[in-house]
Amino acid sequence: MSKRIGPKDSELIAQYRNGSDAAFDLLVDRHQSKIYTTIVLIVKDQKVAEDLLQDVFVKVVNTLHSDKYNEEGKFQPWVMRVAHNLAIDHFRKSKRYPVIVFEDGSNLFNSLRFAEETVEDRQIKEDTIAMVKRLIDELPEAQKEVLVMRHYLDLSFQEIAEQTGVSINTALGRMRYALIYLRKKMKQLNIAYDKTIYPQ
Amino acid sequence: MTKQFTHNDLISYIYQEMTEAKQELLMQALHSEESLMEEYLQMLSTIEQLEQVCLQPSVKVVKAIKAMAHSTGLQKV
Repeated sequence: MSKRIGPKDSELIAQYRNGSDAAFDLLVDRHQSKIYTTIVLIVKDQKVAEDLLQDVFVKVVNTLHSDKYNEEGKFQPWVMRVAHNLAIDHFRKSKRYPVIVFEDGSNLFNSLRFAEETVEDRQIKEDTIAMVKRLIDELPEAQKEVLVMRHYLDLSFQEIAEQTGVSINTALGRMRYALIYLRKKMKQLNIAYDKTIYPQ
Repeated sequence: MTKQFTHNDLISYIYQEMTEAKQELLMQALHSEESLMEEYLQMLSTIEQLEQVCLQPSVKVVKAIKAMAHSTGLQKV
């Protein structure tokens, strides 16, 4: 939802294919957080997510080197699909042994990026983000899946419906229930209108 | 005449997956129906919270990815 400045992804890819490592670095800087966040929300483990993040970019590099890349300039949807598929594959394989590292949140959120803030502000933000993430983890799997696919993977509800085998209305309904649940819990926890997030 | 909109319509609207004609009708409904506007604002604030969840991988991993891309050897750390 944020506006992007600088060269388009397609331009960076063309430059990288012509030998510019700096162009690839910018591509990584631009997308790594969104990809990583999505993977963490699916696999619930920071170390695994970092491993899968590397797998995603190995696949990106291999594809770009092999000239198979043909996404007509739509790099982000493609790379997010790659990330989603790898994360889901991992999640399915490890489902019998779920690893939830959230309670050990210090590690998970140490790497959050913050602007210039006081220690107290930072702590409040960390706590809020940790709480929101925990609430997402608490959602029923079908609702969480739609929320992650729509909000973090940027898939349309039409695409989500196709990938999950439900109607668009069902996908929308799951998103709605997810939001209702989150809102209710946020109100209970009094974090919906945190002043550090909504400064006056 | 006001069209009856559902919560699902609000979600389609927030994520910009609604036709322009329907968007126009919904915007009119938002202005005239207080409860719909309230629901819309609450959904927006919840979705805004989701935006806060933005995690960063470690610097070591990002460096490894870049180094991998710079070389032909695809080594993971």
